[in-house]
Amino acid sequence: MDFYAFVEGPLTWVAILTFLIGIVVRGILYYNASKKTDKMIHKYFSWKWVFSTYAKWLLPNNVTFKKQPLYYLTVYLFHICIVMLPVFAYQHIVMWEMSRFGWSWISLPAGLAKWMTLAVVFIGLFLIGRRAIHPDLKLLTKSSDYLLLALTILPFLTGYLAAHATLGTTGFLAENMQLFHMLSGQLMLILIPFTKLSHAVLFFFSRGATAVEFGRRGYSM
Amino acid sequence: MSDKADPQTMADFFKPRLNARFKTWLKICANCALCADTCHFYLANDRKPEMIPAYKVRFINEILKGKVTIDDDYLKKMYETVYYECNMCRRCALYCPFGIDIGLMVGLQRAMLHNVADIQPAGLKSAIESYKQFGNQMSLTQEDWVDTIEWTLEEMEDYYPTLDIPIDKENVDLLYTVNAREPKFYPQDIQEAAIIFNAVGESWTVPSVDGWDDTNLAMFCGDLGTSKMLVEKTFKQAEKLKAKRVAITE
Amino acid sequence: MELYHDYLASSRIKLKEKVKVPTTLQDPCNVIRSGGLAEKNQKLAEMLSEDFRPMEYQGNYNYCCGGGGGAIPMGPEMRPYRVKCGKVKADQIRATGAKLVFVPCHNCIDAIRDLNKVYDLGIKAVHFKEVIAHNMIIPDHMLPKNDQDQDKEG
Repeated sequence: MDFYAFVEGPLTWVAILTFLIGIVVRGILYYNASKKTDKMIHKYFSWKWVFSTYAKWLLPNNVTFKKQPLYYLTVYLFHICIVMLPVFAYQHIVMWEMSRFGWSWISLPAGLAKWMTLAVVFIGLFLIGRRAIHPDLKLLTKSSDYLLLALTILPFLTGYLAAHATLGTTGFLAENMQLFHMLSGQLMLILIPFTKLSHAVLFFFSRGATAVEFGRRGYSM
Repeated sequence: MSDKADPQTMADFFKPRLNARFKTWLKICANCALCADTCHFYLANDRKPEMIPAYKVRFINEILKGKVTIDDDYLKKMYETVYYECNMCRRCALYCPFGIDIGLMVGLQRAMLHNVADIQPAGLKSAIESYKQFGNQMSLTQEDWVDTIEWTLEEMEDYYPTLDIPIDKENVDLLYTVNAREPKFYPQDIQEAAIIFNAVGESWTVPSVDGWDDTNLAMFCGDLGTSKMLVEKTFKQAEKLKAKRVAITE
Repeated sequence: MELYHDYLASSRIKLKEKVKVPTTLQDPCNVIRSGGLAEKNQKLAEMLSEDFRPMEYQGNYNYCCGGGGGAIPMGPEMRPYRVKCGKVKADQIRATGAKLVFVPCHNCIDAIRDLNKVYDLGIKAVHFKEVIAHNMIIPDHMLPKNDQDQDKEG
């Protein structure tokens, strides 16, 4: 098995399983720890507060959106694209069809997917630039924040370059773009459960807990 | 700096108190600075970046990671941050996309300073000592308190001759407690409450000993032992006097 | 405060008159944001006022007065920082044009009275019970029986 086949095959499964098991374990660990240490949240738990807070914050329907609408929508778009593209890019679905499962589902139109990919790259670069310039962000930002942002952009950048052969067809970079795309995507999947990117799942627990915390005082947030 | 204040003891203080939420918050905060302009300290200090709520809880991670030198300067900086730059008002929690409650974590940092390094504002320290000795923050004795009620009534006699402040009456609907600043500085507050309760014919009483001060300043520097003692005192009174509800001033 | 709200809402207390000057209202963090009494707080202020003017962010999302979290009992040590950050609250109050501010919290009232002096707001900060006790109809049985008293003295 050559390196390409190894990355395309076993490594992909390792990455996907690490990601899936990782986020499930994160969720279970959180739940168990909170049963022991956040008894108040469980005592006053109600889906009413949890769902209403999701409805506000998974949609642009909250106080922070009203405070900074443009920035909020930009970052909102960034997240939507990041979640949608890996699942609904037709190149990925083709891979699933060819896999042992033979699964297939509806894909994003190629044109839309192209613009979404570019959106991730450019919004990501904008966020990196913003961190470097804005005095508030400069103070808070650590090198890991830059690194994670860069690693988040990378699969999308390489994906775009590979899909559209932007760099032509010859040369080391162009010839191996598929490989870079797979490697960077796998790296990101593996990093999600172990880094700040775990907010992909912990967001729901954190928001839920705080919504109960204020919900038991009688208002949804 | 006290002998107890070594970095390991501090980390050991934090660890069991970092509940699932706190741990998650310290991990996932995206350093996005959306909380900056939700804070009145930030706005009133010319949008100074150091006033961003998310920046005020950095000490927990720093101490846990053990990468900082914890000397007097460090603890002074921490003290100034958690006391001079935060009212623990929790407004930022309502604006954080992750719902991170900075106020609670500032509270934890205050608790560490108080319980491990024995650092706390003089004003709160004397209040805590007074709570422990007298059961209220103003060092008032039981006689002071009961006397205050009595002369309060005497003062009002000309205007409201039947005005009554029942002390230690049993089987009432309402146990009324005050802020200890009232008998000390604002006795008219007690008079006004009495006028209202008398006018509506409320079945009420105030406790003569223990638990009549409803303030809990120990909470503000994380002295949970004293804090709990105070709450228990009030509820013990309510049980003893078989009061149905406890009301606090304002 | 909740109790006073219920007294007025259920007419156990009736008012002689409402407050005539423009009023506004502070939302103490531990009573409102962490206490859940935002609605009753505002209702009570409305019931007591002829011209109630909510401040920006009235309710759960209001700003702290600067006196919270032990800042008032910390005394002079905290005062410069408290007064500085209280500018946000002072601006909020000034923007309403209110002359009377209801403040259902001992910490907040000390802080806001201080802000009034420092930022020259020209307001009066009061507890609810002060206004209620002053403006309510006092039942006859509580009042001195003037005629008899005079007879005795005479």
